[in-house]
Amino acid sequence: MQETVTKEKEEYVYVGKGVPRVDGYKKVTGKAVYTVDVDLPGMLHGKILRSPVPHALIKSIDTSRAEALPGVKAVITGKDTQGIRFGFVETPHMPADMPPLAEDKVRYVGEAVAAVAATSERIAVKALDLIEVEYKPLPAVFHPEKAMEPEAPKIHDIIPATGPSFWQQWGVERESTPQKVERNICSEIHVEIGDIEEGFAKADYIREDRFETNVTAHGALEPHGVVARYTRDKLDVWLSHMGPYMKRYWLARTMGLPDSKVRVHHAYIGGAFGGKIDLFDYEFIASYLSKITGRPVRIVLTRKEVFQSTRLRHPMVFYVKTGVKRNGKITALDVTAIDDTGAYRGTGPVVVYLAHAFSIPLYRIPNVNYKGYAVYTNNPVRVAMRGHGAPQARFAMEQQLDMIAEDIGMSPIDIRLINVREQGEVLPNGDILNSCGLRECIERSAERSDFMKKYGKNRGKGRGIGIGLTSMFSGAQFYPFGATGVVLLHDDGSATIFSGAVEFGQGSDTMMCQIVAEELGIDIGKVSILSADSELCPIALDNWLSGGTFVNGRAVQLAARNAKEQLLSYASQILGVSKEELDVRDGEIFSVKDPSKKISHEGVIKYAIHKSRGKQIVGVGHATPVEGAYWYPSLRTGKGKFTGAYSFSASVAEVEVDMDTGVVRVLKIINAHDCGYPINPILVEGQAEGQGYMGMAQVLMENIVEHDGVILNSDFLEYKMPTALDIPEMETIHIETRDPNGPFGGKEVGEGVIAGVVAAIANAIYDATGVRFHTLPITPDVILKGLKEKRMKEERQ
Amino acid sequence: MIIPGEFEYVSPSSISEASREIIERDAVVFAGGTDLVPMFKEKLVTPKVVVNLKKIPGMDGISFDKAYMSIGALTTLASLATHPSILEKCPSIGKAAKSIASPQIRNVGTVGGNLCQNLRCPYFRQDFPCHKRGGKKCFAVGGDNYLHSIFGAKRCFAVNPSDLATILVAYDSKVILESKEGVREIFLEDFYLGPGEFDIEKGEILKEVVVSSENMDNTLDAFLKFRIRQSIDFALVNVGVVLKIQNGLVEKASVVLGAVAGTPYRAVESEKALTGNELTKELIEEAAHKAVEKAKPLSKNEYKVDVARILIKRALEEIMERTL
Repeated sequence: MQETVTKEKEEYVYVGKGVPRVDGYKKVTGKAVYTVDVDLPGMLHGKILRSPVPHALIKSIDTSRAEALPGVKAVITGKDTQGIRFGFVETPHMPADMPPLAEDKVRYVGEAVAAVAATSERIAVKALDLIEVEYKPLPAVFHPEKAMEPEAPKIHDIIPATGPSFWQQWGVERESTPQKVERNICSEIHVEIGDIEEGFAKADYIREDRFETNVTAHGALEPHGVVARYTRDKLDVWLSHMGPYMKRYWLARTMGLPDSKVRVHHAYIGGAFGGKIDLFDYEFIASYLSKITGRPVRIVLTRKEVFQSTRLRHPMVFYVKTGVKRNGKITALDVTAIDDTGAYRGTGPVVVYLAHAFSIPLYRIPNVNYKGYAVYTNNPVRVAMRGHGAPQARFAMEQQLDMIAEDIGMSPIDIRLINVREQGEVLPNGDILNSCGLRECIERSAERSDFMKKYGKNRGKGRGIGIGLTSMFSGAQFYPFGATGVVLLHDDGSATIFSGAVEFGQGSDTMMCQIVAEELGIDIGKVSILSADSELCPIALDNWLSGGTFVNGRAVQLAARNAKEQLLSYASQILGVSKEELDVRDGEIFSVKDPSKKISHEGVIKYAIHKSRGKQIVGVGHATPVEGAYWYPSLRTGKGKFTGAYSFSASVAEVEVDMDTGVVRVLKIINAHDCGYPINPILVEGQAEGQGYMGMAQVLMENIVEHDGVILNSDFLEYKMPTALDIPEMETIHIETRDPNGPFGGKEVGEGVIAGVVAAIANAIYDATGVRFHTLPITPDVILKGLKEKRMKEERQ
Repeated sequence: MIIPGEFEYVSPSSISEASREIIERDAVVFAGGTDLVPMFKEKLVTPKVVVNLKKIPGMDGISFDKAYMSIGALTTLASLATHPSILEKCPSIGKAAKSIASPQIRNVGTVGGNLCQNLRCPYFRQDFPCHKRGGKKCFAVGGDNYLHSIFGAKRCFAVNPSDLATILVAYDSKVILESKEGVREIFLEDFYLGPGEFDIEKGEILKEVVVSSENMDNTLDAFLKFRIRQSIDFALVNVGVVLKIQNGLVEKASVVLGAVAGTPYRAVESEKALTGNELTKELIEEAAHKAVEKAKPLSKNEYKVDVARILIKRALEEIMERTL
């Protein structure tokens, strides 16, 4: 269920309405084409041999028996791809560190060692069995704090620069330098705001705690896959991804092609959740195999490979020290975050920045000292996953805030209300909160849940309530730095949108069609969209930067407006009234002064095409995440503008804990969410609820168990994603703030909420049990252990 | 995902033919396939011959006689879960069946397959060189043993994962094993020898499960399953209880725990405590407590001791409520 708190009501026809998904029919009838559905003539099947050991030197690889197997068309190893590197993060100081195939050593279980292309999948699998690899095991390390110890095994030594870095190609005037890795530290960030010493000196109460979060998996139902076709000098690929431009960039660079010679084709995508943005080994491998065999190559990963060798959520350790005044005002915050980024860099340098950057917009803290370390281990590689650093940080800080509140005799609501930021504030990095409904989110969720009547009333008796806040960006200055949208008007009065934004289930195609229908005043059935084809579409911000609505939606809105302007100019000629007097509705252009003066869109478009001899009306629009910034903020200091709008939410969770068995049942989750303006309230509600159970699952159910780098639960049976029976009641409250820079006021909604949910459930479990859990997940065994320790402590006293 | 190996698939129409395939050609027995097919895919089982049992007449269905109930080994879990007479006479057998996997899997998964299913230990499944894979070590002991045994494990600490086994052992069920040599009838409890080890001779096929009417008439039962996810999940602990109460006294008690040991674990001390006594709150506490006295948990599965105790308590309380 949902409820809307509206600040100003406007009558829109298509936006603000829960119109059905434009891709719904194709998907429910099985007509939508996903990567695995692409079947090209002469296509080969690729399979990858992966390392069974976490850290070892490769002494030898013998592929001769595999090559001799009938039906095998190619076998490749790291020798064939020597020196090729890619990576999600590549700055002048951090060269790309990931080889598509291991060269002299393997650094995690699941790393690609050899690959085969054969005429059938069965032959390819057989061929893998015939490849002999001799490993010399090396000592391995699996926890980031252990990896930072001086005597820990060295996972990387000097990471060589492989040509001009990603950023240098876009104008950063710094040569790439090799990175010397010390103590396995992949990257380090130090953010200083105000004077931390002075901040703590002013505090009446200071508290220090350690928290640690778990590894979870994205769990997209579509397995990762690729179909690659290399012909002469061009590469065509169909991928399961979150943005065609990052993929295109890295495929072009690793394959030695110009960008325009790589085409990422449109394919529907069965879920991404942050995990499908950087280039994967198998995407390069299929492309390379296609090049050397001259035939298209398909690789579809097994579920085990998806878990073990693609990407996972970053587990992080936090040391949090907070100082407050007697009235609860925070005077100082000192955080050290240590991230296990896995065997390659993944998004480590980004997640340690984001754990800070997503915290700062919530509370007005004058003095901050934040240190973040992304650390290499011999675990599988970690990357963005819904919230990217925020769930980890909120689990730590929202819990500590509750602990402080209790210590100084305040309620969780009051300590938040006294510290939260308001609309109009400027953050230390220069970002402006043009819209901020945080206070209202707290007040409405607390009121709706009767928070204050319930909180603390059943402490230790198995029933509890908790709150958690979150903030999230709406796009940032990362390649391609913004979006261009194109709207083409057809003879019959219909329109086609061209946008590079990728629909991976979140509803971006539908959102864009709604925006364009509204702007042009035509039926949504007359709007079609062509999205995420890197050759046919203008660039958009890839859809892992949470700028889908705010940036890509805005670009399309401006394109529609631009088309409308042209339409109105022609209509003005036809009707003989000034352009300013005209408006659009129901496929017609009419005079607002005299509505009998009107003409259909179709009529105007036909007139335009005829009179101007084929000059079709094409609207173009452009939007950028944040004005006045050209680069992503510094990953070393956190300085620089980050985004043009933050979304906010407050989540309240109620739980029931079986004090005998430790089972936690979430009774209800309320998400009060400020996404500016819900362009499609049903899709927004779907995002909020999806994050509700994803967050719940991270706390209570989902947990990657790694043993010496091997994931023990690499399937959907043992990795416990919730089923319909596990989902609690959920309620979404839309807090409308109408961001001035978003389309119809809209901003991010897809990944912030989860962080508040994680924190709310953790806080509710404390309220129910009287035991504070500092580590995720909080499974029945953990609860029973905590309750036992509490009983023993009480008995001793 | 493809099944990498190649095998011959045969569909005999009699047990003796199937038996011969097993003896002469090392055939692997195939019924519902829900346990076996994933193992084919992961190359945990790589047969040369697969023998389909589903064409053999007389192995499917539930029937009642005066003296006993017979459940054919090929009976699907779905039909067990919904059979009206089962829900009337021994409802917990139906409840246990319904708690297994998902509707789709229950529609094809069979009773025989559920009773004979392979271990779920992640180390075993992920091909760690453990005792069960020709190695000399149980990786769970020093590793992640959340799922593992708390009772009497010696080398392998994997647990019997079957929900049905727990309740059927509680009903003192017997299994009928048939080969071309003849027929053998043993208690299901004795059928389980250790983790993944069954008292089944090469060539023998589990044909049916029988429960004597004596164990169903005038008895009350309960089955509880503890798991992380409410569907498509194996038990972390389960319990099956069958009590015969006459004149207010427990005449016969059967208390069995599952997923806590390599075989279904009969809580003998609980049964002793219950037998001959009136079912009271105090007695229930005592019986539940005694069930886990001998537990030896590992580093990460101490919770199973508490949960097993609580499940027994709740199962007995459930029965007590029905006697009031």
